[in-house]
Amino acid sequence: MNNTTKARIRRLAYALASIAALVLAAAAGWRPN
Amino acid sequence: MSTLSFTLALLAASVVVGYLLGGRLQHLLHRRLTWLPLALVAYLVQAVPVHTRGLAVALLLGSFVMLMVFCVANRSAPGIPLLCIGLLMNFAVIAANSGMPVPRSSLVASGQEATLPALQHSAVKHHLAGPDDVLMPLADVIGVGAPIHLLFSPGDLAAFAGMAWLVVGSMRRRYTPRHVVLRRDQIKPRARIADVV
Repeated sequence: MNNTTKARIRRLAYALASIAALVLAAAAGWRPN
Repeated sequence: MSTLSFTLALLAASVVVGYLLGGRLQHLLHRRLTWLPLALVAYLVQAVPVHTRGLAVALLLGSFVMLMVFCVANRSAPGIPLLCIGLLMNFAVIAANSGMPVPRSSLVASGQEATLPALQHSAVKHHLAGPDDVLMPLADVIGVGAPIHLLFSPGDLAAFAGMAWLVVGSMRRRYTPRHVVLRRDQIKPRARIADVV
């Protein structure tokens, strides 16, 4: 796996994690955890 | 199922739907979302352990303001306007009641009655609904039973739908930055030979 592919995967993981964080912060459904 | 697991499952399902509709994850990378770290900071701010109720409410509302700034900055991205509507709905209820009210009946409907003691000693984001709470139709009134066992507010549903739309929509179309579109519009039509001669 070359550096370009690694960087692309890293950027993709960061984008998806940020989108998940965005909706988790916006959502206000009760969960006991 | 925790909200985190539900969110990750929905995210994965959105990626699958994006592929089924002919999209590519690579297109998601081309869409540059402005101020992306703000979403992470807003999430982390909600997790800061604070013992003073007033400060905790202020941090929670501040986190929502950060999310709104993010949504306004990225309003042209697919799904973000819907996510913004959900955010505003949740913000309105939380600001009016200093936290999201959870009706006992919804708690039972989602099969979470065992979590009632945890809710009573919960942090600031949730509290058991009382007679003084307002805007109750926008509160955590949608109880989903087995196997999910989660409570949602109408704003949550809009936010989750907006997230799915953002992922699928970004995967499906290649993002063209605005300046490129403008430049394309400014191209003059090629002169006709008759005009030149």
